[in-house]
Formats: sequence, structure tokens, C-alpha cells
Amino acid sequence: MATDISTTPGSHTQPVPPQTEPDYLHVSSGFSSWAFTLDHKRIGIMYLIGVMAAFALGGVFALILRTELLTPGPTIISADWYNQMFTLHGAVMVFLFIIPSIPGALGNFVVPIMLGTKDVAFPQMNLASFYLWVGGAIFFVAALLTGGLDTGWTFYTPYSTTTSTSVIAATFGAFILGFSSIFTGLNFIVTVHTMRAPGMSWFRIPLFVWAIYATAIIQVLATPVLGITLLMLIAERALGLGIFDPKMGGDPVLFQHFFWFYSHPAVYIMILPAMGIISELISTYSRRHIFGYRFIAFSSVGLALLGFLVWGHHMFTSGQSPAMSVIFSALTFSVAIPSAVKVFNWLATMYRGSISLATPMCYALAFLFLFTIGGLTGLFLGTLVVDVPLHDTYFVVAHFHYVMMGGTLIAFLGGIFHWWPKMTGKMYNEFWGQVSSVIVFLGFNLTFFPQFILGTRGMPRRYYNYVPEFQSLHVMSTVGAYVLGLGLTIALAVLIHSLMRGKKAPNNPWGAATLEWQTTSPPPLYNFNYEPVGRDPYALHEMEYDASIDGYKHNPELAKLAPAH
Amino acid sequence: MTTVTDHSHHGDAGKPSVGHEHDAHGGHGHGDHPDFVAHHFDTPEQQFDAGKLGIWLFLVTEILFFSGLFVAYTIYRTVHPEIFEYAHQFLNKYLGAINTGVLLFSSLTMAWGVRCAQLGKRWGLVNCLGLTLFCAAVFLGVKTFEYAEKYEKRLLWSGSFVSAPDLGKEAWGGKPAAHVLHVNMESDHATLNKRVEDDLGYIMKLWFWVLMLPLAMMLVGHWMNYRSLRSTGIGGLIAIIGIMAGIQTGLIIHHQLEPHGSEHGEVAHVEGDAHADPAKSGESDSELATDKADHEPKDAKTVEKELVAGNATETEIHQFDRAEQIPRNWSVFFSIYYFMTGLHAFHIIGGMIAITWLLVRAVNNEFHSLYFGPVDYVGLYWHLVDLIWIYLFPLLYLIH
Amino acid sequence: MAHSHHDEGHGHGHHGFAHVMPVPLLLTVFFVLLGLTWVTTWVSANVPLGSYELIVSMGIASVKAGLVMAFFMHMIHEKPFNIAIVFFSLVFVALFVGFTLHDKFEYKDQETEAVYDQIRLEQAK
Ligand SMILES: [Cu+2]
Repeated sequence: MATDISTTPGSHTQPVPPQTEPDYLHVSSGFSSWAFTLDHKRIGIMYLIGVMAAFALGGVFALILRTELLTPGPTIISADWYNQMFTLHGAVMVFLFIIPSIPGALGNFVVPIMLGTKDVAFPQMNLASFYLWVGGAIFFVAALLTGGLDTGWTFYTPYSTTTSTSVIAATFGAFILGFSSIFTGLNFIVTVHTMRAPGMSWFRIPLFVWAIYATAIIQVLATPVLGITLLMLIAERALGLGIFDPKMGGDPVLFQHFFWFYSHPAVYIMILPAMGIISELISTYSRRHIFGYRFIAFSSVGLALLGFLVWGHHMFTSGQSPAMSVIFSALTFSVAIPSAVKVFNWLATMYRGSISLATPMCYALAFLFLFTIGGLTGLFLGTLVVDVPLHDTYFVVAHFHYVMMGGTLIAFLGGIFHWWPKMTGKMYNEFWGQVSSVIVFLGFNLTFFPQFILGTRGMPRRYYNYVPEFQSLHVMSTVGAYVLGLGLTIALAVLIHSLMRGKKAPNNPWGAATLEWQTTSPPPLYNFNYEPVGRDPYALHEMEYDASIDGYKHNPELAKLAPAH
Repeated sequence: MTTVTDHSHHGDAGKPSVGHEHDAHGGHGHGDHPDFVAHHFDTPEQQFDAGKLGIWLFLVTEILFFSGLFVAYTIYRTVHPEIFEYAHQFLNKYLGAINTGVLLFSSLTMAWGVRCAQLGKRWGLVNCLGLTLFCAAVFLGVKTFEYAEKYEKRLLWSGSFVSAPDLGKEAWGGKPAAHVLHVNMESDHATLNKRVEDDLGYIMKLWFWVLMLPLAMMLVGHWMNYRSLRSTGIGGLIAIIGIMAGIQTGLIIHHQLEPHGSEHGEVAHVEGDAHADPAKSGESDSELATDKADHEPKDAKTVEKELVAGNATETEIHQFDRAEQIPRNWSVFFSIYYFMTGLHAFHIIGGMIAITWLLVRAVNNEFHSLYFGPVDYVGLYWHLVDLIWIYLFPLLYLIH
Repeated sequence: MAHSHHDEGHGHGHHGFAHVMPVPLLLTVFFVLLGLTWVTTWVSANVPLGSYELIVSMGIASVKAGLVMAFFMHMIHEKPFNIAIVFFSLVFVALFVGFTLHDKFEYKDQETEAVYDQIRLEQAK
């Protein structure tokens, strides 16, 4: 019983007691034990399955698009279908996958454990968030089945108010998903503020939690604006509101202001959690204390806030006034600073570290490479004069895929492999995990690097047809997409295989020092069978390998031998 | 770092340990725990603080949600001030002021209710919540009259002013265009009031039957000695009676003000003239053809006749508006008006549902000095809805 | 443990962590709010303020909002962090309005609907 254990002195010497109660997966069973669960871990698992299904759907759309672009002119689908495919690919990937993926799945699972608490502050709201996600997904599918959507994921007026496709169903779906996102973010902010374990001071919070916290600030501040924007769009379309309609004295550029006031910060909803994962992975697999903890923590919050000042860089060529374009262009460069702070600190952490090329680290290294390319090309696009020719070309497509996919998706995969033993209690096949990361990395670059070249040569995005000169680059990109698909399939196969055949995971297979590795794998219903105490989350040198369990144990004696970091 | 003792405390260091009443809930091994504290919280104060931070963050999302509308308002008013100067005359500022007072009073009763909950005064809280619901219903009652009247005059959002081909589809309700403010508004008032009253009378009858449900719950609960059912019944009764009384009061307020009211009295030329809005009805392709055929300017009388009949072309409407100095696109004012007040009314309804829930729990005597969070949180929400109205009132009604 | 102020039922107005508002204070605030509503309506109907009208009415509204927040919403007893997040959110609203309005001002003189009128007239010919 916990009452006995809680009398042990709350120092660094907490042995993880042997498991006496069933873990969260076995504490109850049956459909309703999952459907009505208030356990953040189960909700996280349901989110994980949901977002992976959404990703598969969006991925199929992507493969259809790439296949269509294999040759100029019609290849497999009509131009109308092409418009619908790229719209739904974008909308599904952004609203159903990237935004909820890391906070909803991994964040829900690990944040409360990392903080040493039993659950998030509002478990019912957490479950509601998941069901709102399901509701939004249903509306998206409904839009798909009732006329599709061909506006692009940005829903720009006036096209979105005049096209005959199911704009209202899709925007209402996005509206609901917005509330799902708000609930998740609000819950995390309150959890971080009020639910931390004793000793878990602000600067002992793992950097992943800092990243999720910064993300939550954006979710709470920006998402409501998306909500009202979509509501106004629905009203504009259904009732003829007039605010965005030039004929009624309204202004379509105003819609773009509204949309990007949310959607630029939303880019940081997508990338900040990924950066948080990378901070954990780099430190753990380099076996070094994270370098520049406070810089990384504050740069997350800094990015979240600076992200609100730059939305106009999406509107340089769409009727925004030149004066505002200059201001937004200048402000855009400021977001490069916190991003670079993070990259430098990660590199400094790896420097002279004992780097293990375990699967999660392979993904983390891929992230570093791809995110750096994505970030730097963002600076090209933020430069006013360069953006004018590059706007709406494949250069932009390549840029945001390097950030969103090369950044967020790769980090998400790294995070899944990292926390998989904790979530499922099973180890996966290391070799095939590494193979998947290499194939994904190669396939990704083969898909998107040619698109930078296509963009600089003037290939516009969202086009069904192209001149024959572009075909060789398009073929490379399409082949890359299939290689990428193969790599992702291998990754999925590795995970499914581990569920069936994987050997039992030790409590701490990686020697990480954060609290989620100081409980059993998988954790019990209330996360710990002792009272956890916050301590330095990156004191990796205190972790000692124990061959008998093929995992790590905390050895407080090692703290005295710690090299200065 | 604060010293960590052998007590187990979550959250920020310094939380007092509370709740040593015995309770049989210790099965999970997390110590003595009063019923009203959820299992994942350690102390009532931690639970209260989490809820408080949560509700403030929720209010922040509400502020940003409404901010979109305020931005749209600001932009549109900055670019087209003439529309606001022209169109505000169709709103009755005294009704707006009375509704402001009603909402302020509801804020008072809500704040008083929080006080009662903190002091554990069960019936004081019930009274306060009942009064708050009453005020909310008065507000919505008056608002219903305002909407109904504007609907009658076809003072609607811009989409309903534009004919179907312009929207590229059937306009709202399938009957676009033709909004003519008739010369004789007074006679319309009587019929309108009559009709809305009839509708309200019908709604009242419905409410009366709805009343039977909580009544039955109360009696059955009492008879079976099933406390929470009885509390639900009593709470529901109070809520519905409050709402019914509120709607009636709203109706009376409207009647007191409206017939002698200033709806159009303020601007003389509106009263006297026949006014047309940029509108036309059911313009088909053939009409478009005739439109092209005679584009010669017609005299004002002819145009006015066509406007009344709903046959005028859009070009003619614009010319007519220009001659009458009616600003272009003035209907967008009503788009903004309906969107802002409608969304606000929607929040009022949401608040009423939450207050009814509190009312039931208050009758059930669930609140006391260590557990009054829900009353406090709903109260904060209610005050925010009031705050939004405090700004909407001058922005929409007090333009001059 | 630091500041364990949990003395239920005793002390000066402390009921656990509750901050109880005295009734006279609540009533005073309410009547002041009512008075301000009357003032702003009366001014709007009777005093021609011209372009200052918006400033005056929004000023009065802000005073009312301040009173509601301070007393009805208990902000005078609220944790500084909770107050901070509300004002922080207003900064973002200001940012939203400010940038968007500034962009719109750049185009204030170009009347898009006048252009549209022109097109309609052309079509009619
Ligand atoms: Cu951006």
C-alpha cells in the first residue's frame, strides 16, 4: 500500500517497488472501460489510434496525389478529384493528425506521469476532448462523402463561399476540432500549474512538458479565433453575412487575417511538441545532461508568443498592404532565434556524448537534419522579395513538409518508439526499427527535395497539370513518396509485431531520468505505486545498467561521482 | 526546493492538508479524502485552485472568441461609418438600456449567490440563482421581441437583402429580397405585437406542461424518500417558474416601451417615407434580359413602386438609395448586429442551463465553504457574458 | 508547511480559501453600474458629442467592466497569475485589432464597392 511506502524519505532514493496491482491496461476490461475511461493513459492510447488512422487516410490521399502527378495531364484522376484530394489531404493532416497528434496521444500519456501526478486536472474534459476529436472527424468524413471539399485547407473566401462542395460540413468539423484542441491545452496548463508532485519545481519539469505547456498557451489563445472565423465563414456562406464579401463592402483579405491569426501560431502547435520530444530523445540517447535547460524551456514559450506576431507573412502577395508586409517580414525573422537556440543546445548536448543509435535517436537525428532545412527555407520565404516569386510554388510545399512532416511526424515517430515500452510494456525489434527510420529519412528527402527545385523553377502548388520539363523531378518525388510509404509501413509493422511477439519491457530500458521511467512498464492506474518526488529530469549519470533486467536502475551513489555538466 | 516531508502532497508546495474526516474511500491507498474532492486531487484547495485557473483560461478563450467579432465590427465601422450612423436608428436604445440593467442585476444576484455558497446558505443561494434565471429570461424575452419586430420589417442580415442569383444559390428561406419599410409602421406594430403574444402564449403553455416533469420528480422523490430526485424536482420547478415569470416580464417591459417608443420616432424622415432597401426579388434570367433592355433611368416614383412590388433591378435599387441618401450595404449593420447579439444570446442560454444545474445541486445542499467552486466558476462565466453585453450595448445601440 | 491558513469558521472573514464579498459592497457596485448605464444612455440621447461619442461611451463601458471584474468577479482577491492571464489575453486582442486595422487603413481610400458599382453598371449596359 502506498501509505507504507510514502514514509520512505522523499530523497533521490526511491526504489520502484515491485508491481502489486494490475497495470492500467489490465485494471479493467471491456468496451465501456475504454469508452468511458477517465484515465489519461487510456485516453492517450485512444488518441494514438485515432490520429494514426487519420494519418493513414491523409497518407492515402497523398499517394493518390503523387501518383496523379507522375505524368503531366490526367494520370489516374480528374482535375476536380485532384482539387478535392489535395484539400482533404491538407485538412485531414492538419486538423485531424498534426495538431492533436503529439499533445493528444503522447502528451496525454506522459505529461501527468512526468509531473508525478495521478491524472490531468480535468479528466472528464480530457475525455470530452477526445470525443470532440471523433465528432470533428465524423464531420470531415461527412464532407468527404457529401460532395467533397475543394477549397484548400485554408478555406479562403470568396471561393469557399461560392463553391458547391461541402464547405459547411468541413468547416463545422474544424470548428469542433478547435474545441477539442482548446480542451487539451487548457487541461495541460492547469495540470502543470496545480498538479505537480512535491519537489517538482518549475525548473525540474521535463522539457517535453515545457513544450506541451507552451503549445497549450497557443491552443488557448489562438484556437478561439479560428472558431469564430469558421463560424463567420459558415454564416457568410449560409446567410450572406457580408463581412468578407467585397460586394457588400466587406473584405476577403480580412478573412485571411482572421485565418492566419490562428494558423500561423498553429504551426507552433504542430512543431513545439515535436521539439519537446527531441529534447528528451537527444539527452537520453546521448547519455548526457541536457545542455542549456532554461534556454530550451524559455525558447519554447518565446516561440509560442512570437508566433503571434508574424501571421501576415502568409499574405505578402494576397492584397495585404505593403507597409504591413514589411513589418511582418521583419518580425518573421525573430522566430528564427528561439528555433536556433534549440538546435544549438541539442547539438551541444550531443557533443562528447555517448550517442546510442537506438531507433528513437535515429529519428531524432533525422529531425535535426530535416527541421534545419525546413527552418532555413522558411527564412527565404519570410524575406519579402524572395517570397514574391516563390509564393504558392512547390518551394512552399517543400518548406512546410520539411517542417511539418520532417519535423513533427519524424519526432512523433521517435516519441512513439521511445515511449512504446512504457505504453505497452513490450520491447520492439531494434534492427527493423532502425531500418524504418533510414528508409523514412531517404524516402522523405527523395519526395520533397526535388520539390524545392520545382518551386524555384516556377512550378505552382495545387496544379493538376505541368509542363513536360518538370516531369523528371515529379517522378523522383512520386517514387520518394512510395519509399516513404514503405518506411512508414515497416515502422507500423515493427510496432504491431512488438505487441504480439515483443519481450517484456523493463521499467527503464533507456536509462532516462524523467519520472515516467521511474514507475513500472506499463504504469499502474494511478501511475505510481509510491509517492514520486520531483528531481533533476536529466540526471542520467545516476542511472545504472542492470544486466539481470536488461534495464536501468537509479543508483544514488552515482550522484556523488557526477561529472560537472 | 521546499522541504519534502513524509506527508504526501501534490501540487505547489504549501498546500494545507485537509480532510481528516474519515471516509471509506481509501481503497486506492491515497489517504483520507472527503467525498467532494475528486480522487486525483489531494486537498479541497488544490481542487478549487485548479478549477479557478481552468475557468479563467476558459474565459480567456471566450474573450478571444468574441474578439473576432469585435475586430470585424471595428474594421467595418472604420471603413463604413455611414452605415452605422444610418442603421442604428432601427434599434431602440431604451430597450437596450433596460436589458443592460437586467443583466447587471443578474450579475448582482449571481455574485450574491457565490457569497451564499461560500457561507453555506442553502436557500439564499437557491433564491439568488432563481433570480438570476428570472433576469436571464427577461433579457431573452425582450430580445425575442426585438428580433421578431425586425424580422417583421425584414431588417435582416445582408444575405436576405440580396437576390438569389447574386449569392449563386437560393437565399435564406427561399424568399429573398423585397424589404420595404411600409409607410404605416404604427398599424404594423399592433399586428406584430399580437402575433408575438400569441406565439409567446403558446410557448407559455408548453412551459406549463414542461413544469409537470419536475413537479412529478419532486413528488415521487418525496414519496419514495429519494433525496436527489426530490432536489432535482424542486430545482427544476424553481428554474422553470423563474423563466416563465421572466418571459412574461420581458413582454410587459416591451409593451410599456414600444408603442410610444422611439423605434422610428427619432429620425423623422424614416417615419414619413417609404423606404426601400437594396433588394429585389426572384430575378430570373428573363428579367435580367429586360433589365438590360431598359437601363434608362426611371423616375423615383416608378422605382419606388417597383421596389414595393419587388421588381426593381439591383442597379435601380442603388440609384434609388443614392437619391434617398441611404448608404450602400447598410444591411451589413444587421449582419453584425444579429451575429453579435445572437452569439451573446446563445451564451446566455448556455449560462441558464448551467445555473439550472447549480440550482438543483443547491437544493440538494451540496455547497459549503470548502466546496463552492462550481457556483464560483459559473458565476465568473455569467459575469463575462454580462461584460460582453456591457460593450455590445454602446457599440450597437448608442451610436449617434 | 508554509502559511497553513486553514482555520475553518474562525478568523476574520476567512472561510477556508473563500473570499466572501460583503453585501453592502455588492449593492453599492450594482447601483453605480446602474447609474453609469443611465448616464451613457442619457448622454447618447441628449448630448451631441460628435466624434467623441465613441470614446465617451466606450470609456463608460470600460469603467463598468472594471467594476464588474473587480468586485463581482472577485478580482481584488484573485491570485495575481489569474489576473495576469486575463490582461495578457487582452494584449493579444489588441494585437489582433491593431495589425488588422493598420492593414485596412492602408486601403481606406480605395472603395472596393464603388468599383463593384461600376462593374454592375457596365453589365447593365
Ligand atoms: Cu506562418
